[in-house]
Amino acid sequence: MAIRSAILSVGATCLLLGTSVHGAFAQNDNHDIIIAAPFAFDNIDSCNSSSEVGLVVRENVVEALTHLNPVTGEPEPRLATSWEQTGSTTWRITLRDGVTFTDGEAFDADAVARSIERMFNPKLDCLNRGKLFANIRLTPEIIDSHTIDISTEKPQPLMPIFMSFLTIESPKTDFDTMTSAPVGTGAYTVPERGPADPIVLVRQDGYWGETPAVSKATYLRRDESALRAAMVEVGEADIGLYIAIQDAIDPEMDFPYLNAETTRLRFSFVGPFADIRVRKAMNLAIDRELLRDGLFNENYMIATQMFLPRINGYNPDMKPWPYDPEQAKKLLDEARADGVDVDSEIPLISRINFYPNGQEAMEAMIEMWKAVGLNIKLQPMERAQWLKLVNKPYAEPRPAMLIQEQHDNNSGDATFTMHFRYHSTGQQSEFGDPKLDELIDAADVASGEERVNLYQEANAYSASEIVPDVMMFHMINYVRISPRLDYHPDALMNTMMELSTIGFR
Amino acid sequence: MGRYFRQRTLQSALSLFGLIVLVFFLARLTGNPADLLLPVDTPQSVRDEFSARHGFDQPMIVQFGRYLIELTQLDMGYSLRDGHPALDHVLAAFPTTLLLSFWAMLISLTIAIVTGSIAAWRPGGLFDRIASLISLAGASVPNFWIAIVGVLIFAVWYRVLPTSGTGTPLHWVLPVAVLFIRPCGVLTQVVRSSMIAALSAPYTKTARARGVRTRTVIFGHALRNAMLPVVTVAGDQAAGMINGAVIAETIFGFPGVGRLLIDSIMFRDFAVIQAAVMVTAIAIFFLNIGIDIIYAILDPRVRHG
Amino acid sequence: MTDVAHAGMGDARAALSRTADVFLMLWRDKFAFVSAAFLLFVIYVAIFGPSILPDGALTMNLRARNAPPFDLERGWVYILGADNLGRSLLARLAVGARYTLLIAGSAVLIALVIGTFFGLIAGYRGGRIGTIILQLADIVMSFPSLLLALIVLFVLSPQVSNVVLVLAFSRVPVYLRTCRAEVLEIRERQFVVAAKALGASHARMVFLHILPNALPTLMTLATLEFAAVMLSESSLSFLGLGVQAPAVTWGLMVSDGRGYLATAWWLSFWPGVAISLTAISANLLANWLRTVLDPGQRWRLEKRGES
Repeated sequence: MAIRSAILSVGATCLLLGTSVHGAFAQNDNHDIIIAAPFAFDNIDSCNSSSEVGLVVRENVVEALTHLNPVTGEPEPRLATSWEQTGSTTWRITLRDGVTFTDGEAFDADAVARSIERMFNPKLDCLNRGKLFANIRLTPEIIDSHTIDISTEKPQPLMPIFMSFLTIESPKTDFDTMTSAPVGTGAYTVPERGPADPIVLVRQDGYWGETPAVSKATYLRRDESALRAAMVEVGEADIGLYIAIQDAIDPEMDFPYLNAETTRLRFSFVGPFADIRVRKAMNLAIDRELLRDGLFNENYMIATQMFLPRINGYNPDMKPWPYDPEQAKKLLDEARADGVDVDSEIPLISRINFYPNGQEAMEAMIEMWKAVGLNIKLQPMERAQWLKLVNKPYAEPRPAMLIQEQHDNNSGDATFTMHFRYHSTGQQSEFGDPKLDELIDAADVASGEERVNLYQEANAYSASEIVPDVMMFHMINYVRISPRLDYHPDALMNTMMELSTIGFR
Repeated sequence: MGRYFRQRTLQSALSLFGLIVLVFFLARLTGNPADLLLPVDTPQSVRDEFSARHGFDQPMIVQFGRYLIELTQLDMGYSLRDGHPALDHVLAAFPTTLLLSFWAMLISLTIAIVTGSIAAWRPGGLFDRIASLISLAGASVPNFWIAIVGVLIFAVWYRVLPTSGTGTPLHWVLPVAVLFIRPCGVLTQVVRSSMIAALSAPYTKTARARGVRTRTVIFGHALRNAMLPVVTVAGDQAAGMINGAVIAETIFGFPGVGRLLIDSIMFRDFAVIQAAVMVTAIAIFFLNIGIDIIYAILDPRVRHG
Repeated sequence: MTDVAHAGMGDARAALSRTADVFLMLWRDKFAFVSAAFLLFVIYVAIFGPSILPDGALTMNLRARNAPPFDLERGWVYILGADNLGRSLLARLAVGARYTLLIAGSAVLIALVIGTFFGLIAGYRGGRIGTIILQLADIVMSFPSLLLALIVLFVLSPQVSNVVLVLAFSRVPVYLRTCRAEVLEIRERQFVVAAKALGASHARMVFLHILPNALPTLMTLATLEFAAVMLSESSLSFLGLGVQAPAVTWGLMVSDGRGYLATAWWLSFWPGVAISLTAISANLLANWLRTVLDPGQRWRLEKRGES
């Protein structure tokens, strides 16, 4: 009784207020937009711009020296107009003239040097430093007001790519504390706000480039994908980020894009997994097409390697594993005959709430392995617990297991992936293979064509001779975009969302 | 009265201290924040640096000592996620939760008292049966499910309510609805059963026999006496709400303490967890005192006891 | 429960007739009767359901993904539709019943035993120990259960038994407080005071006189709590802190299916219905229990039988 009457009365009230409600919902004709995202964007200091914070601040508030072309992955000028390698470890960068920060400070070599030094300031929890520059110390040297040299200890052929992560903030930014209102050279400013308020970006006059159409952007946090989708549908938001595949049901509004994430299961090279026949059999037993069409959709790409085709070093000649359960059984029988224990239960370590349909994919793969006689058991873990198994130093003894992983390489070059995962000294490597080490080491210091070839060779060698993982998919994200916007997500969507690329219909 | 409150305060302070100790040490069992806040690929050296910077590399007891010393200066530490004082976060989030709980409790109580009383008039009667069933049904549905279905129906299909967020009073309708349904069901049951008891008590029977109007009997005589257990249960429910509007807040994007707490727990943002637990506990302490006062007003025996 | 408590006093026949009385009283309250029948059915399903399912009902079948309900083409097992891996929802519900009842049941039982134990001490002994116990209960009450869930998830692992632990631990104070209040009241009753005066031992006092009298209230509470614990479990699953696959509970099914509400409502609807019906039944049964055990109300169920 209680509930029914309450709902009825609520409904009645709403109907009475109907007209005013719709008034409140209607989008204004102005160019303010609302973006619904699953993130809290806790700390939008430009120093964190390589994380999801980049969606808000990167290029909108703080600009970087270069900008990666979303199609080719090539660096293009942004705050830097040109760059050249002047010594084996030094790059000379020419900066854009006539640019000012939104607080009035001039953009010059001093500001760039200070931004770099601030990033390396040990007092700051700077994600960019941790993620990209932990082992690469950049040393800036000011040549003149708009020329700067950046040098590194070892040759760094990737400097122009790194420069796309060097977001430059105003020299007035506090050097020793993170700021919640970063100031850069971008077209937008971030007004001060309270701890519980959403982030708002406001367009300012006098931007050096073309004035963007969006006048104001508000970033709302909504944890449920269904809710974000609903918000765009009813007009409460203009862009809904990270729409789950099951909510992306309207092709007019929902756009897929490769989110740069690649998924796989990693083997620990212990027990049965020390035997390459078992590792091969595990790959042969998976019907990736069924998995893709059943749980995901045709937009997902079956992966042969851990990064996307646009990344330097991608080997286009590699083929996905065929689905061949008979061959898998044969390999397992051979291994069994040689005394390899392929019948005990082996855990698959998954991560709770990792990626949409991740859990289902794990369950489905376990079923497929069961069909060839393998006994794999799902063991979901919370992130921190999972991390202890993922990163070296590993606890001893390391058990035989499969680990669910997802990796994003947004940088444009294979090195961020290869060394970490496949080199014997890599932090997440399970094996050491002298030939592979050699290939990766050589590739790391090479440049141009040679670099690409070496990485391609390393990739092909690893996949056929070592079989370190069960490759899955290049993943897709959906973004729901209101019909009033003229906007198409690009490949960089995962790390930045340039408001200047958004137009209105 | 004064002595009673002094004693009460002392006891609560002791409980609070115990709670803080427990939360401090147990929370630190759940792993290093460096693992959660830094990207997966972060090298160990950077993780160690992070731990050292925030003092997590020191012995637990040293960390606790420092926390206590800072606490005496009303400094509850800072959030690892954005560097702001933890207390600021909690105080900014608290009013939302309080307001949410207030409305949900007010509506629950009103509906529960009216429905429960009428149901108690004829136990086993038609109204009683239907009211019981509906209030139980309401109390038996997972609230996150109600929330999502509610959005689907009222915001997407009929478009009479906004999906989420704060702003207009209409934004509060769905979250409050999600929050009030369960307590309302429970309270209706409590009101009903204590009203049945009160109505069969000698003084109400006399009143009924004297021909006093039904409404006067129920709302004038019986209700006052039936309110004692209702107040107790309502207090518990309200405390639970302040403690746990997590689901309503997460789904509807309400920046309240519940969401703050779950976020901080997920990210091992210890200072904020501690501050949130402490502020909530203090709020519940005042709530309990308020309930004691209501008790004293309703039942004169307590005042002298 | 009353009959169990008093069984030792009478002979077997008396106990039998009491059981018959109870059954009659249950029969007279139709809601309670249906509830009890439903609960028995759920228990039956939980115990035997999974074994009478046809082969393959629980194996993945991606081609039957999200198959709609009331479609008999795939066989009766798919009458409620299939989930997002193409497994029969009916079969999943049966397996989920086992886990759900096991978790809620053991959590309630553990909390009941621990809570009653400490409640007895706090109420019977009182004094300093009583105060300390109450104080501890307060602390447990204000300890955020989500944090507790995370601690257990992290330090131990997301096993079914650990979820039980979390749910039980956070509910202990409820029983403790209720039990203490009951004891305080019973302690003052004449027969207890008399027994004490006659020099009964503490153990005798507690187990023979106090506990049996406090038990009815506690049993009613436990029945109510059963519903509450089931809902808490589903909330934990929603937040990703509860039971994890391959184990499955109704709460987890609701939570997993919520993403499909707009496209395949049956994924979260059926388990939601299962939770609600079970919770309602438990609540209705508790209501009946309360009436039966309340001497002032019991006549309502006895009287109508005579007419």
